[in-house]
Amino acid sequence: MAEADPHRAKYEQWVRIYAPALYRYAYRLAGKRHIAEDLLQETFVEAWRSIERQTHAQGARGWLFQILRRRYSHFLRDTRSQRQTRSLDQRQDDHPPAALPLPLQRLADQDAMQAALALLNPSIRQTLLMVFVEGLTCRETAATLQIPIGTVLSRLDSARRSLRQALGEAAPSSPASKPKGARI
Amino acid sequence: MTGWNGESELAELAHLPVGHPARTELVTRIGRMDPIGQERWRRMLRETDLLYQQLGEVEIPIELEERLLQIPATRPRRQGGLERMLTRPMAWTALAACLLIAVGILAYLEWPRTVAPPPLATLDPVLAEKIAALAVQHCQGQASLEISSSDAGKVRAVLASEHLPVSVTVSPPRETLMLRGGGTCEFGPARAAYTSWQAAGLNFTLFQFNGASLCVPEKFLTTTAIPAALGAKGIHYHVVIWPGHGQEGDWAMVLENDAALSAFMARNCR
Repeated sequence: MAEADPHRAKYEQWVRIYAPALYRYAYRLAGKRHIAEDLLQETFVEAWRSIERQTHAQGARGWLFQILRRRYSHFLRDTRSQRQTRSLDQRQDDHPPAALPLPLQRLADQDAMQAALALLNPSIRQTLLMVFVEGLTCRETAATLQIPIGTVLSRLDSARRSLRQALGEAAPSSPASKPKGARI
Repeated sequence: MTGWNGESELAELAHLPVGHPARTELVTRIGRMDPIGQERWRRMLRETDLLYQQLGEVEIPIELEERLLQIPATRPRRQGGLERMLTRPMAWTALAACLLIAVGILAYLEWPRTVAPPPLATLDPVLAEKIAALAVQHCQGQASLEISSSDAGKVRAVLASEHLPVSVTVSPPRETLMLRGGGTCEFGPARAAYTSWQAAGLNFTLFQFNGASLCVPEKFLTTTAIPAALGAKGIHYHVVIWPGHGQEGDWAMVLENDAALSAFMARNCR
């Protein structure tokens, strides 16, 4: 009986509480709804299968985000591998290279913020989303990524500048970017 | 204005969402800055709020939650170590075997052990010789029976009236023996009852006494002693000693017989 299974009850609670934030994170990370949905599906499958081993220090929420990040890195690895294979195949078949979509076309497909995020370096995008979507503080982000706090702040500053440019806003000089010698 | 560390700290705080306690502290600190510094940090805070708002604006698919809730029904959960072990039939057998072994070890270590009695030995030869000597001395020195009767009940009644420290039995040691009579006598430090029996022309004397006074152990194997030193004219007595059947250590019996020379028996024990 589902009602009698404490793991099932816990799992359902996680879905109701954390799935929206996880989906937002996945979508902002991957940029495509179907990829985000797949990532979330994989995340919760793994969470369900390993529900007994959930001992993450940050609790279930942090654990689920950790799984999601891992699934995304697997997705990126697989995608790169497929792209390389496809590239080789195309060269062998002597087909002309497929025309890359123009930036304006991409903007038409996605919302402006998502288009701006797509321009970010993946590590910078991930750091930005950990703070603004996952809700971690800069220090928590640094601890999770195992990088210095200065690197986190530098990445965030870089992300802000890129987003300002991409979104067509006037780029204010970030107070944190002024000093020289910041660790990146 | 603060240095890099101060800037870094402010930048860190400037990424916090509205409502965070530390952000309230940041706003207070910004209020104490010069107008240019205030403007810079306030713009950053506005940008922070905008990022929280815009990055969070993602439409959640309606059926997503329902789809995720279906996962437990379609995907088997990876079981934990113990649970996985307990759901395997072989594991149950192994567990049962382990339990049995554990119970066996515990039983071996903790179970109150019944101490095996030491193997019975015959009576100490010195003690046996002493008892045999007392029996033979009595037989050699006895002129007549105190009670001459073949009636076991009568003999038993007389002996019981003596209140000896032993419950006297008057029943033939062998079925073929015929009772001649009995009496009481001093048997070393103990008082004894004796009964005399006859079979095929041979006399047998049965002494009954409390063995404790002679340090006779509670249990021992039937012991035969032949006190040669007391033999007269080559007559050797065979004294058979065995524990009584009353309470343990209560008494001991001595059967004296001389299967070789009935003449001596007739002369001395009659």
